[in-house]
Amino acid sequence: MPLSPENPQAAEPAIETAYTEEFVEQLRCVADTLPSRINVDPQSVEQGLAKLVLTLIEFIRRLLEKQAIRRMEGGDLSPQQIEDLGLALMKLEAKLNELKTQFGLEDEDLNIDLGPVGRLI
Amino acid sequence: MKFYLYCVTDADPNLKDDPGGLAEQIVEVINSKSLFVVASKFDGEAVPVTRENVLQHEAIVRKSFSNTTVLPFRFGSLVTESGLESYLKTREHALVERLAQVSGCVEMSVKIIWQNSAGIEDSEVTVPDLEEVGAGTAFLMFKRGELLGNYRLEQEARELEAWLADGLKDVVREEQITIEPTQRLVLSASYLVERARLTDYRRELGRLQAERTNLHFLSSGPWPPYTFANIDLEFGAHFGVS
Repeated sequence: MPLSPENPQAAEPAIETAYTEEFVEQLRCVADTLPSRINVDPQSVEQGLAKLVLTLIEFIRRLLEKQAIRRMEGGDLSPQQIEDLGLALMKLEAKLNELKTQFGLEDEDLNIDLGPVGRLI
Repeated sequence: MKFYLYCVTDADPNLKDDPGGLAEQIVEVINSKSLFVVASKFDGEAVPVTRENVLQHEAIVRKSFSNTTVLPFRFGSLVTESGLESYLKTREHALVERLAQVSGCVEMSVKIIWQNSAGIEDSEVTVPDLEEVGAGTAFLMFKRGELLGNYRLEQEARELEAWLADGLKDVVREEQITIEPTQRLVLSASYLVERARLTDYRRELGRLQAERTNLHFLSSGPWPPYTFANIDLEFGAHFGVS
């Protein structure tokens, strides 16, 4: 449907905010997590793969953590079992942090954009 | 040689006097029955993601948008001539339907930054006494507090989402809202607004901003209906690319 004179043409887009610097900073953080694709470049392919693998491990780690807390709250674990489970998860988190440092990744890097569904983590 | 795609329109966008497209190629309007595809030839397998290319893509889409209704393609969409023919043939009905849905509308965007009132800092996160419990138990208790804090943040973000949706429901045709409760940029919304209702939309948004002065708003637009075009996914499904 061609636009008629009565139906005004699109104006130039305008951006309105009283907090420009704050939004620039936040949007930069969002942009830093994009694109969620593996860059097939010899220099960065290793980091891209590490990011993908570590994201999946982080996702599973969080699931395990939630499940452990649910069981702890459910009261079906003995104090020793809670302690053992907590120690195992603590070590897993420490190991993951170590791997992140090794590949130069930050917490915000470990995510996958699933499009309309949202983000994985 | 492939075609680089900018958008599908429901009428000739009349771009004859415009500057060239990506890679300094002439912008062509390819007609197929009731559809018009704005494209330019491209020699290569992938379009470099550069500031110039992105702005060029946006400029062509916006120019087309100023003359007609558009469904923008995702930046970087390349296809062969036969692939494009096949795509238009098989998707004609869906594209015409989608064009009708966005006809006469623009996309408006709202982003909100909040100062987390129920932030993790003041939630139930307490550091357990290590003399009473072991390190493993303390770790799980700490994580439990963190989860509770996140849950409360999510509740607040959902409430914010519902408040905004309710306040604008009479002036928008469609909406897509994303919330990120643990981030400061907590809400990003896109609205499909009829051009004729833009003034009403701006007035209502202004009223909502005045209602919650603790929230920091960024509003932008009018944009071509990128969020509501939804043809890149169909394109991807058709050609097996993304």
